[in-house]
Amino acid sequence: MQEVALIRPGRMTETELALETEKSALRREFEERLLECGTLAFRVARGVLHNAADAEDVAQEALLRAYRRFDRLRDRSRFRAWLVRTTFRLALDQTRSAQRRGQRETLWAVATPKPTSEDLAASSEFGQRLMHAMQSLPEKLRLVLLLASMDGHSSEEIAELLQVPVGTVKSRLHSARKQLAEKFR
Amino acid sequence: MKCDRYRDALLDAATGDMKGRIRAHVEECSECRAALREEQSLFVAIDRTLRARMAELPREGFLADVRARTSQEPEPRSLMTPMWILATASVMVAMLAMVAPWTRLRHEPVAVSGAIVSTTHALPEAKVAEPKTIDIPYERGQHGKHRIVGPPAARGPEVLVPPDEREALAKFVMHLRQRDEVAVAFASPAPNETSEPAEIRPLEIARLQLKPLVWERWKPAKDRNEENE
Repeated sequence: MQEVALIRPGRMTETELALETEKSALRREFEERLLECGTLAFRVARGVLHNAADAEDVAQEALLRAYRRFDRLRDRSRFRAWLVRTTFRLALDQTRSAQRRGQRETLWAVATPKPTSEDLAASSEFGQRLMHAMQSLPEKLRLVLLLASMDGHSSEEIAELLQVPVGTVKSRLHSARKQLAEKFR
Repeated sequence: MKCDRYRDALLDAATGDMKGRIRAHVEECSECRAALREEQSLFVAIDRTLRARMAELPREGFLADVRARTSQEPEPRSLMTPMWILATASVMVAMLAMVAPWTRLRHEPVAVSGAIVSTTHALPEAKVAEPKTIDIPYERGQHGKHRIVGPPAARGPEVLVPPDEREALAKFVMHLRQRDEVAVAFASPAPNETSEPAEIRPLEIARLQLKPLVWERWKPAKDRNEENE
């Protein structure tokens, strides 16, 4: 006679199920953050690096690191702040290593709508001077200036991103622009 | 000369921070007005260049590349998974198990008098004739299961012994090694509880005999001795 056994899901199965649910929730949340902040990471890197491909590499690396420690970065504002800081830091490291090696010559490619050749030459020259001027800025001022140059970033949002007071953001922005202008005199 | 004072202020004014005093001067002075316009155009150019740069978008496959790279990574785990809690608990239990014996071995030296005898070190074999220190292996804090143990890592309690009793104590300790049961009894604290209460017998008092009092005049001891003689 064949025996019939009743198989019930045990405690391990329930635990595994809970883990799977948790994992898929984490994955879904990360996908949301990626859609929301992927471009932000690229732009921060692009503000420091003068090559779009390099900026993409740096942004990918920062997003990958964010994924690895996403259990601690599930909060939206925390994720954005961490991503901006990490991307900026990685981009600076990349610039420094490139400068040390002396192998990379970067160019500013200013996206202006249908520029004339004269405008392009002028903007390119101005862009290169601006690039050198930006490199000489202190890192704190530089990051604030980059974030302020992005659309939709008010002083309050930058303060939230960098976790500093709004007054500090305004002060740094003012100093950064002033120092940049002095470089062009 | 007058305009030189406003040079720094003009730069601030060009960034948007124009004060009333500067405003009044710029309205009067055409040279400063031109300088302000020049500074403002410079800021506009800087902002425009930066905005153009920061408005750049990554190529279309950028996010897909990121997804491909993250798919090769292990899944992100939540901080409070059951496995993590279990691992944390295991580490804490292991640390407690490591720390507990050390807290037991912490005891102060016992001062008697004379030289110092360590009770936690190994017994000396060759230095019996002139023992300066004598070690008695003894593990404290284990009531009920005493045993002779090897030399522990930490120094234990020390007993001071008078100089003229060192040799005797050394021989006694050497003798203890040959008789474990005595050594155990010597080195062990008294048990806390007795197996059976001691039997108490009632005290027997002999019957008291009272003799009648006889009046006798008091005499000095000298006279009484003479009478007895």
